Amino acid sequence: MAPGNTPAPAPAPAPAPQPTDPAAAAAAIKKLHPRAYLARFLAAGVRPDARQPSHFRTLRITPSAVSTAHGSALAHLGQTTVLCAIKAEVAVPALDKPDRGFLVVNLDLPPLCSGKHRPGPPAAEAQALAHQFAGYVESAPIVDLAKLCIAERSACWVLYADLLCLNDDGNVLDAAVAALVAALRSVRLPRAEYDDDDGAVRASTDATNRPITLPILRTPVACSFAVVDNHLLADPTADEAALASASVTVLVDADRSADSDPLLAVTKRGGTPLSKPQLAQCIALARNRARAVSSAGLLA
Amino acid sequence: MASANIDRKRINGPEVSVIPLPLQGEASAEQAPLLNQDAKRQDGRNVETVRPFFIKTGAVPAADGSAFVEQGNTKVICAVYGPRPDRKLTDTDRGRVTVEFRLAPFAQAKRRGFVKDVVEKEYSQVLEDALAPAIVFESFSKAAVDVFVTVLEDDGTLASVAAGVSAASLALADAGIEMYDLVAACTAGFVEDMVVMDLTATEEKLRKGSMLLAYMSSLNQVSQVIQTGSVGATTAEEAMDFCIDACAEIHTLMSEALVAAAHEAQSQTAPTNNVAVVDDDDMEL
Repeated sequence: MAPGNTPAPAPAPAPAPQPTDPAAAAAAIKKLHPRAYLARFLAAGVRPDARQPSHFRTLRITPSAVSTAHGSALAHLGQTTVLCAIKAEVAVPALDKPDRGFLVVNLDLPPLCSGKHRPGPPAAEAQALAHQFAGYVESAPIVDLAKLCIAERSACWVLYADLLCLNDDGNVLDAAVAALVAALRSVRLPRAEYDDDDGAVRASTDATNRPITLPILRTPVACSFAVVDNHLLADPTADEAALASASVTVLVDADRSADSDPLLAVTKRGGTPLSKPQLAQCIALARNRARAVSSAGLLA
Repeated sequence: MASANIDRKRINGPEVSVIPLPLQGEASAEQAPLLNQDAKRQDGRNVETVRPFFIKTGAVPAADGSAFVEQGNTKVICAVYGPRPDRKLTDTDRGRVTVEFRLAPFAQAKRRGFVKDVVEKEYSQVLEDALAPAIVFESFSKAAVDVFVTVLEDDGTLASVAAGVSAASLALADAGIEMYDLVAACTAGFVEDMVVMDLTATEEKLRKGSMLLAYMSSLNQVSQVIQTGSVGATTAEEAMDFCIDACAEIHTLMSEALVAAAHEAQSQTAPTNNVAVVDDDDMEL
């Protein structure tokens, strides 16, 4: 009797016994037939949150949100919230890179941020997302790791960038990239001295005495898209992402989004094939978005 | 970060990393006495004053209920999911509430890993026990309510736990879980022969004992007391009185926050928001 897992091409309009509150009826259809609910909106060229398919949600950055960190930022992308805090410690440089420091990036999706995630070690999906994110940071370095060297072969800074999703309403990746860039820009390090005699690094513990900032090499902006029934939706919400058959993430350098080669990464996941014009549209939209984000001075 | 068991599910940095030593001859704030000559603490408080509170419900919109509590520099966020079905609960008429207390990796002076440690497990239990007397377990039989508390910034660990109790209680109320009363919690420390309320992280190093008290103000019932360290009975009693007074104040703030949130929700639902308006000029960033 129940439609079960059939695709439900059209919402069987419930034989409403009484004309009920339209908002309640809409909420019921959304819950029972999420795909048909979204399809109705998309057919009219609009999304349930009143955005057009190519529109992104508003990005807001709150810098220096955590005072126990050397740099931090809170990024809101619509209702998706990611907190990034960076703590600096010292270590011995890697043998093959004696003049480089470390940037260790971890993106965590705790069970706090969404009903999807359960307690315990991160699920495969969360791990994959965290690795995709770390891969972006590794392939397109945001800071020059050579600046983190304190004494060659002996001591360097390790920046632990821990990103915590506080509310997952879809597209955590874009918010995470924005939070990381903003947090790296807010990093203030103390002047460190390496002592040859005892091999110790000393630095001022005074939080107000941190004069060193990090030179930023580039400003990546991630722009994700979801493919739902051959519609390309920019910056999908959690509801939209749950119905998507494929997702595309384009990483663009906002500092050179007008140049000929602004692309840092393109990732497409999921089974649906994507036509070449659609992919080109993703890239064009991402470049526009990067330009808008950088001209708004959000990541400056 | 030297740990024998490597967390293979996350990205690890170098095997060992440490926080740098302080500069030679640098005066550290930790060596300063508790009170200055005006009998004020480093942040200007008296011994019996708690830090200012900031409370907000609905901090995690994806959750069924949530709260954010700031107490001085301490920041705690809490989300509640449920009641949701639980297959393990077939042989009981009661519901189940589990609390997971976490400290964010960056919450303290020294970075922590992501793996849950003993301290977090202990405090999860403390929170569960402090909240349990207030919850009507029969109202959601055979279902589970999961409470996730994360300390984003820890300026005094025991005070963070207390803030976690208050935040969790607020989030449960926000989620519409039936409760007999809100639970507010507060801490006191024993420094020299004084009872000092709501210790910060630097002050915690001077204490010889501490007390955490969770209190249901409307019922006038204490739901939990944890006292550690050797102190006299009168001192402990004094600390309890201080804590109960502070909890009553926090309880008032919590009720006010809930009432304000309810008013806001009401005024938002009054005009139906099911009409989608697309504004072309609004270039959404």
